[in-house]
Amino acid sequence: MSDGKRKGFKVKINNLLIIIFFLVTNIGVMFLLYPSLILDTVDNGHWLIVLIHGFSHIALFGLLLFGVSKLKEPNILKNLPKKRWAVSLTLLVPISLFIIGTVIVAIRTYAEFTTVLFLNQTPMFYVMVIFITTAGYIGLGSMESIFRTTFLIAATSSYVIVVIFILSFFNAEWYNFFPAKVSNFDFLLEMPFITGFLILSPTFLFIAFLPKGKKFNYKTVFWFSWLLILFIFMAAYSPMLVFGNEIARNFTFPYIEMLATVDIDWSIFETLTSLFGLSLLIYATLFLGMLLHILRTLYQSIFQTSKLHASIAMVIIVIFITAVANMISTWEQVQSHIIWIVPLRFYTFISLLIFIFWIGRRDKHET
Amino acid sequence: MKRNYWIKIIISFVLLALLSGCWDSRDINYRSTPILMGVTKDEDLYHVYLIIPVSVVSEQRNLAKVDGKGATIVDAIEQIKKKIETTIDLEHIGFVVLGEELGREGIGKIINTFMRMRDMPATPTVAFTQEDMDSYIDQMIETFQKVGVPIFGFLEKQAGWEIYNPEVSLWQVYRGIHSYTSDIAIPIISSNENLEMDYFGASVLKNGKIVETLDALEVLLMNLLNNEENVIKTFITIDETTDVELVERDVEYDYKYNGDQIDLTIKLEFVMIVAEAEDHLNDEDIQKKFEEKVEKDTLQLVKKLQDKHADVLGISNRIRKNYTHNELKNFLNETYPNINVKVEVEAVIENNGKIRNLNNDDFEDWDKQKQD
Amino acid sequence: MDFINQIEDLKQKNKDLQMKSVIIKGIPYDVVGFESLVDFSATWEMVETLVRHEEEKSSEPNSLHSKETSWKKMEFNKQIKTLYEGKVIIWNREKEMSLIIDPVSQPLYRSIEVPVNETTIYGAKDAFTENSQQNIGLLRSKYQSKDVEVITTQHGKRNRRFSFLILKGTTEEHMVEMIKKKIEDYPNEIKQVKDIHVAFGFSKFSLITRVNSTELPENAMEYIEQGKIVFFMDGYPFALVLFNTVFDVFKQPSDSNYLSAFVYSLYLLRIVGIMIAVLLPGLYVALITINPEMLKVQLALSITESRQFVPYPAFIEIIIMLLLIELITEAAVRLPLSISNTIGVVGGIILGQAIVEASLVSGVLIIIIAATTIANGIIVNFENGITLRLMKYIIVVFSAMFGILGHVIGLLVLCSYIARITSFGVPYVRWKKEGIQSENQ
Repeated sequence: MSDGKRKGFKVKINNLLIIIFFLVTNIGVMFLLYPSLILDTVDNGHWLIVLIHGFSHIALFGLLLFGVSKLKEPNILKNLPKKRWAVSLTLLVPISLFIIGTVIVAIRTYAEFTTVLFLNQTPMFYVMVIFITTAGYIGLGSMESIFRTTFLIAATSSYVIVVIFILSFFNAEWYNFFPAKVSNFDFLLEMPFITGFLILSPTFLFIAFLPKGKKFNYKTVFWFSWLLILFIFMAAYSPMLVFGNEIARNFTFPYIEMLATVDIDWSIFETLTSLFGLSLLIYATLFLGMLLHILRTLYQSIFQTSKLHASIAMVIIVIFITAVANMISTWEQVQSHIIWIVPLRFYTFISLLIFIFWIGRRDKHET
Repeated sequence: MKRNYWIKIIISFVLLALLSGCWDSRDINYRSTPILMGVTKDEDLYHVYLIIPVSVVSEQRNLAKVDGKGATIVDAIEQIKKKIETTIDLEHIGFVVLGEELGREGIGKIINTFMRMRDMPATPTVAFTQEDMDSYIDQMIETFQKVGVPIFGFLEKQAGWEIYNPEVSLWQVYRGIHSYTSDIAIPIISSNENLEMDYFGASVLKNGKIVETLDALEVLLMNLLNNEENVIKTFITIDETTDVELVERDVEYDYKYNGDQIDLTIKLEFVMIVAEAEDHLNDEDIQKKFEEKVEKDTLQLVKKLQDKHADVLGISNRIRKNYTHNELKNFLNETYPNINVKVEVEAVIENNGKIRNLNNDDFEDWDKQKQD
Repeated sequence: MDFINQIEDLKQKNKDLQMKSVIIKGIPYDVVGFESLVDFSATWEMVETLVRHEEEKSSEPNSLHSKETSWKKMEFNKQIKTLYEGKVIIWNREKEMSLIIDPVSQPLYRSIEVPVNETTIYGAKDAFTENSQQNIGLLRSKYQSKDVEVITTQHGKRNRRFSFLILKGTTEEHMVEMIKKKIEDYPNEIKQVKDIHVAFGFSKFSLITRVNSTELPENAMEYIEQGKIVFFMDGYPFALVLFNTVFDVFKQPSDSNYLSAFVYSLYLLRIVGIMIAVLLPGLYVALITINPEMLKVQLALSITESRQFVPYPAFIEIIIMLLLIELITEAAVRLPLSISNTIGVVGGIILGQAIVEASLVSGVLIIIIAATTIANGIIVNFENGITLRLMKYIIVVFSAMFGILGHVIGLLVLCSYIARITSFGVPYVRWKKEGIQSENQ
């Protein structure tokens, strides 16, 4: 076996790891809050929202991928200019804040979901602690190890997810797809749409922070990201197909409620809901772990400290996050906090893209 | 690096140990899992009954009845929880039986409560009973113990509930109450000496209130029109002497817009087997009799429901695509009653069972051709 | 002090040191060697012919003199060292020169036998022995090519020999060099495999064995061809394999002797086995204690019935039973083969039956434990089995605390733990084809 051949293999496998991570985290993030956001946006013609969201996600992901693929080093932190503080202030600190905000809201949401589904009596604080501890443990590893963890988790749980995806259309009635007419485009400027717009984008962040020497085929990864539209469609439409949109919007977690209606005789478990919920929760924990990992590298880069120092700082930030998340007491507040993060989200991605573009220009001029 | 790594693990374990989350910890043998819930109203209080399987040392499994009263459903369940030592897990409830008088007052709030409750599943079967709930539950338990039906048979949804029952789940009731374009019919059952549950028809709900009652044949037709899969292989009695078994059926809804008017043609196609017939009838006669009967009954059913502004046949569901969300809000009250419905029935006899029908002239066509 | 005196001195301390004198062609020779290592009666003839032959050869002008078997003057200490390796010194008193030869040694090593720990149905039936020369020979006979190279190093006071096998073009040679250096630089004595772990800088408390052992030459050869590094430690009758992957837990080279369709079903079976072995006890605890609503109601009722009179929580119950099974397993290993069967009967049948009847544990748990133990046996390589045996306790603890959620969180933590294990930068969770390339390169 020649060296070139072996490198060829290496490329392929990294593709697979990245694709699996991308899909798994998106599944983990998508099925809780996202369906109700889409349902809230309009009264009829949800397919348009699904398509707009899907294409905008793919466009953003494609832009990020394209930008990173042109860089010499895929990790933007390796490309920082000498005047570090300027970039730190304008780019890295907002990203960190964005990540912290996302983690706080996500932790709270998943804890809420857990207490609804499994641990009725357990105080939410402890549920949050177990999530954040696990995510922190995952985040302390290298990014490579997070990818490999995801691979193992996907290998053990993906078949459950596939079966559930198929069964989620078990009770579907085709006529509930309608009303499908698009009456107007007022929704584009309304809050539910803006809140939901690019809400999955935190799962793309890792693309800008890949470890050095990671070479993969950007095109393959991009084509696989089209599966996202399918997932969004499933998240929004399978509860609608079962209940009809006027009822699906009554539920806090429409997709989960839809799964609760599936009555299967052959499983050893009573409902699919718990199985799916568990898969979602571990996928989401992986996602949180990745965010915390990025946070750690950001900290390391902003303050130029050692790895150990950054790890300790991450633990402290995690404690802070738990404390803040514990202060959010009602579900209403969670929803208002999601809106708070929205400007940060747009700022983060626009500045990230501009920064990548700038690095590309700089590299070009240097050579 | 390696040492740090171990410190991390130890820290996480210590954290976990500190948490020692045992809030939900309660062993399965200290939990009761009711399988049936009965709800009635006793004056102003809700009266909730639960049937709980009680394991005893012997191989038999016994059923126990517990009940409680409260201002709300949850309150009543709390009362029951106070009565017995074990924790009550509602997750395994397979049946919810409601008193029919509740249905007249409206069960929307009860169903909402059930859907809202964290530990109530969405899949139990819902039914009404016209009897006194107390005696009904006693009768159920007694029958169970007398006949010795294994408890697993009781839990199997296929057993005990007649095959042409409109078996309705809790979430379907919820959907029926809140949907803009459909309503739901809930079966009426009663205890019986020999059967676990007997079947008496179904109540049509409109916004959670009973507005109409359907009899057995109407329920069967309703299921036929709703494309229920398990309707086939059922018997239909045409008159005192004739009975056919349905083998296959096909339903088609044909909508035509005629200005403001909507014309609907329901085309029903059947394949059937003759189960019981007088000797002098040939296939064509039976066929005609059947077609006439089904056509008449279906039309009657549709008219009856249209009068009450309730749609359990899926007529409105199928034209959702032509309207927007806002237009659908009042669809059942405004547009649905004015749909002109026509029914066309076409039936084919597959065979006559084990006996040939000698009245048929099987060689008629052949003879004609010969003469030509 | 001359040679003879020194040998006499040594003889005082080692009673098994033999020195015999012989005169050939008028020249007196002394033959020195350990009686315990050398079969003198068989060697004697060899010595005689060799000495005569050497004499003749040296008279020839253009004779081929190999370095090893020629007369030369050597330091005394070096000569003594060869004695301990089982060689024989022939001492020429006149010229004061010595010749070191390989004698017929005492039968100290057992012959090649069938494997005991890793039994295969279809596959080569030879197994490694304590003699690493023999082991290398076994491998060479499997791969008869000039591509196979062997480098050795010796370590410590024991003079323990480590032999590394290199397959040209496949093995990363700089990795072998590095590992060799790690062993050479290790200050303490390498007694057991644990010391190798320490020498390599791996954590002693790792749940995963980074240096695996295999008994089968066939497997070892396959591992070499996969690019893993295989080496022998003298006196340890297994080949040590570095850079194992997570896939080796359910894959075994000799599987390929079956039909392909069967092999893939076998992999599937083993994966299911692994899942059962790790997850089932935890699942029991989680479902019984915290989340019974996930069970089908029929199942829940029958478990309730079987747990009716068990006085303590499921966690204690399962720990008792798991402990009992571990005791049985260990006892069966310790005891002689003829008695260990009794342990199986006592432990499995009598105890299992009695413990249920005494309502100390539930009947369902016995089934769970049995399934777990059986599934644990399906795993390729005993060392991997130990890993999974330990992991299941972690899952059980997590499950007891947070129910089914804790169960999957435990699984996630374990997966994360496995995923971050690297040996010299080579991750444990990797594909066979991914190659062994250090990340630090």
